[in-house]
Amino acid sequence: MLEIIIPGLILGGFALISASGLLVASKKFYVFEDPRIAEVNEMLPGANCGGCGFAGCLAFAEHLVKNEDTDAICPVASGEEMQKILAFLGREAAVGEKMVASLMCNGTHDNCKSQMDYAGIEDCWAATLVTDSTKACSFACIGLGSCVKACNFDAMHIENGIVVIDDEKCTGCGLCVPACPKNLLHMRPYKKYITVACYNTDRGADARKACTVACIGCLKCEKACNYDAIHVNNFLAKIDYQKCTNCGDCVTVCPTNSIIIRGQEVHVAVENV
Amino acid sequence: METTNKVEVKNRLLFMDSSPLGHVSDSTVKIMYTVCITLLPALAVSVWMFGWEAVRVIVLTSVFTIAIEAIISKMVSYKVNFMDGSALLTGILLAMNIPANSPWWMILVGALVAVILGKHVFGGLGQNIFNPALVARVFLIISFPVEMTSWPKPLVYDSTTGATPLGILKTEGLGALAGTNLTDLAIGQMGGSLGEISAIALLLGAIWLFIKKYITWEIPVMFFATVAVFAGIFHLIDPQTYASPLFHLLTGGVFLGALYMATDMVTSPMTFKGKLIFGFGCGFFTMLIRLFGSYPEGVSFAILLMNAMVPLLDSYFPDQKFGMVKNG
Amino acid sequence: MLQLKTFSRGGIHPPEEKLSAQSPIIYGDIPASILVAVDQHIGKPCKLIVEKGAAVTRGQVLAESSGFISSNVHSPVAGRIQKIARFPLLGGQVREVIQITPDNAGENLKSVIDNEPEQAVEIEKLTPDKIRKTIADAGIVGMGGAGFPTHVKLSPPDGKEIKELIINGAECEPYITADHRLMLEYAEPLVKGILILQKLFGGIPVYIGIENNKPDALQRIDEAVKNIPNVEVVPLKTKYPQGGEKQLIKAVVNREVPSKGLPMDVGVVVQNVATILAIYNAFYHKRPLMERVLTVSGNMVKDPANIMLPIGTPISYIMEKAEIDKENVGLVISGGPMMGKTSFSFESPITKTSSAILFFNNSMISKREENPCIRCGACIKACPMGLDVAQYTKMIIASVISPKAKDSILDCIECGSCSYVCPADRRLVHWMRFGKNIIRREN
Repeated sequence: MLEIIIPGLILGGFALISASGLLVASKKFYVFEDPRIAEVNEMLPGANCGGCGFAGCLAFAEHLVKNEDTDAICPVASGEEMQKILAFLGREAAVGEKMVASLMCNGTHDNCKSQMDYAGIEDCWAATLVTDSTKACSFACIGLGSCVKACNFDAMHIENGIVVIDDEKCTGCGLCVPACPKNLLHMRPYKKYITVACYNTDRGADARKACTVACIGCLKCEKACNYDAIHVNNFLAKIDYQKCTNCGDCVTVCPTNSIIIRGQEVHVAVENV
Repeated sequence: METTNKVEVKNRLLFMDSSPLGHVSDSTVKIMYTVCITLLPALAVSVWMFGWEAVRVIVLTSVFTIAIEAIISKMVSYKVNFMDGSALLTGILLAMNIPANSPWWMILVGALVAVILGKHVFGGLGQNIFNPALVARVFLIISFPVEMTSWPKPLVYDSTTGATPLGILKTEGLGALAGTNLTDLAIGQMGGSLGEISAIALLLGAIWLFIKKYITWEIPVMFFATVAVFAGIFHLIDPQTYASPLFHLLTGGVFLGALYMATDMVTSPMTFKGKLIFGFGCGFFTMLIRLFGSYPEGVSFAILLMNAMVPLLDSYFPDQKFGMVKNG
Repeated sequence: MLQLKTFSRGGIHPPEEKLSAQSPIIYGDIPASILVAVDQHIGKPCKLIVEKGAAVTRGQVLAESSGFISSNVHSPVAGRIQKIARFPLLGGQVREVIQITPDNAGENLKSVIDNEPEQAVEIEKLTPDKIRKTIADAGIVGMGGAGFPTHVKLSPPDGKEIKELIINGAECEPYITADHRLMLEYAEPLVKGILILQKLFGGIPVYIGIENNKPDALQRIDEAVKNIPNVEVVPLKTKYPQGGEKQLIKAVVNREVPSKGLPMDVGVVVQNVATILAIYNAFYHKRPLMERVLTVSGNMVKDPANIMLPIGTPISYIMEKAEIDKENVGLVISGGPMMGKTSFSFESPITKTSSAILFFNNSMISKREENPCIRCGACIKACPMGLDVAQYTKMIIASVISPKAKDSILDCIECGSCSYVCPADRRLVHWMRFGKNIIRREN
């Protein structure tokens, strides 16, 4: 009997001492933390993507609670969610529009021929250490998926040599933008689905030689636009999304089909055109 | 990761890659099979000593390990090339670590432990912390003590079994070994597992590995030296109780351990100082277990212990970088 | 025989393949079209100062240096500018190129050069500033491969004293023999160039490091400097990468350039022999850097040769002259196989830094898959910088790089020794370069 009691007492004693140690420590080293931080953290989407510029959701929640920063937004949360959080903190919310990433290139293997037999590491940045671009157009999407690796939401996939973005899954966190060595990923409003899928600033003839769907800077879109929303600069068209109305006139006139309609509205829009 | 879909390119294009564009002819496969081949002399001695039973064990371990690896390769997410020689090497090393009269089911258990617990739980080739064959050996020693301590007698070719010289030393003391001839021990005429018996044959194979630079001198030399010095000190203090350093070097698994097990690339340190400490530790723990432990033999435990220290050794004793020397 | 010097740590012995070692330098013709890249150096980009359609003369500045670490680019021919456009260069980069149609296409370079006879130069009267300015104006950059502007290397900041000058004649890369032939055939001009640099630093000792696989060059240079005080030939034991600046300094004067440091931190300046010849030309012929000697070799070349060509010659021109079958070429390397860069266009022009153009067929192409690291330690043993390459590449692949590892990764000289010896075919150098890229992007 004693063989059981003695070890029991010894271990029990240890447990008691440790427990009182913990108790003292928890009282002595107690740090006050605003309980709202935990609550705001609960309300955030919890993607921990870092798209807000902070080290995860908790850090962002802490920032929101401690600072009167009305510009700080979670790119993943919808406007309503963000409003709810700010209302909880007793502040006015600036309603943000949902943004999505879009690729400024349509240089698929069919449109823009591969120019070499690249055999290095399968990463866009690694490829740029060996060559400017694996394709005929030196501005083109390399298609080795550095952005895919950066995306936390499974919104990006490589198809036929370029990255294809799922607008529904894209949360607009913007992490893919700096991940592209060719600087081809740009944010646009979710509802503005017309994009110039080209980033080539070479002269028209050179650009056309490199890729069948390159923007040649012909100015037809600029003339066709009734809203002053598209401008050609340095042989490349650029859409001003503040003014764009999704009318699709530029898409119709583009001789090289370098202006395209993104997202699931494609079919509807094309039929309307 | 399926991030690219390479297209068929019709026009042949120039090849683009990062420098360097040359490469030596060495490959993992070549290294693995070379090590297997250098083990042949030791295997030949074991066949000479134990007859067809030894052949049976070698064939069974090799077939089992390769078959298990082949099955594993279908189940895991990473790529496994079960014919790259690493599975075969694990099989042969496992054979060298068990007695010639091992029953087939024990070999199967050993092979399962070696390949799965020893290697693939860590993530496959190159990721394992412990030497797979030794993990299996230790597992078998602990699980099947009877089968793993009844060693067949050499040159008898029947079912009579006996103890290893180290076993006799442990149980009956040095006096019982009075008639032992050191030459017999060097050739391998003693009871023991398949591979550990012949020091000369093992050394013969290892010389080729030294020439090919697949193993370096640091670990074996430190291992041998530590065993010899440790045993020597005790032999000098009390020659009646403690066997001579030479006896300790030639019996048991010191040669197999120092030349093939401890020098396993995956589970040994990569830095110079790390290798020295690793070799020292292996020898030290071997002798500690042999002289004061309850097991007669300690090589496998010692090497496994030191295997666990490898990541620490590598990071605490790195090779000195260029440009860190103060120029006088 | 005295003890041959070499660097102590790491290094490998790839097959030398110096196929063109016995081929004297030949002079090429002026090709029908010259493509001069605007940026041929490391540092600030140049400023283009000519326009399409303009007529240019030989030696005219086409693009001007835009800062201290920058270098002029000159037209190697008289002719008319056809076009200015972006174009693939050797090494896979697409950059701005000036296309010139020469007036004297087909003329041999020898007759052009013979028109510019050697002029007397009074070395004693040259001031250090004058020397640096002449070198900068001539657009001279390190011609061994890096392309760092030479005048910058020759201008140590205050407080850094240069005690020795080392001339790099190691030429440790397989296949390349251009420097070897230069030393054999231009020994006297090289010595004149060396004396200018010696004057610049006030008569400091000069060591000419040459590997012992070039005994004829060793002998030739030794004879040429026999009667010159303070200039000495140092025979080196052949080992790759002896031509690496830090390794050469270690071999010759046994000092280690500190991590992240420059040769001038240990009081040394290293210059390649081809650069020295360019300096000689700048002073004695008043000729900016417009030509260079390069090795044309590889298993697709029937007669491996060393050839002097105007900078800007497209490699298709070389292929035509060397009768290389375009259909079977699978790999074009600019530089040696260890550190050279691949090229994807046959039209790419040679630049100031092209020390060799190697043509290989498909047999040289290895598309071996990366296998798991078996921790054999071969890379660590081969690394001349003493880096734990195996560990660092694993960190880079996992994109979790410890701060200590970051410093070490930036110390990598990309010599290729680790990838060369790796039995698991891991692309260690590419991963290290990728790691450097990640670290630079973070900063």
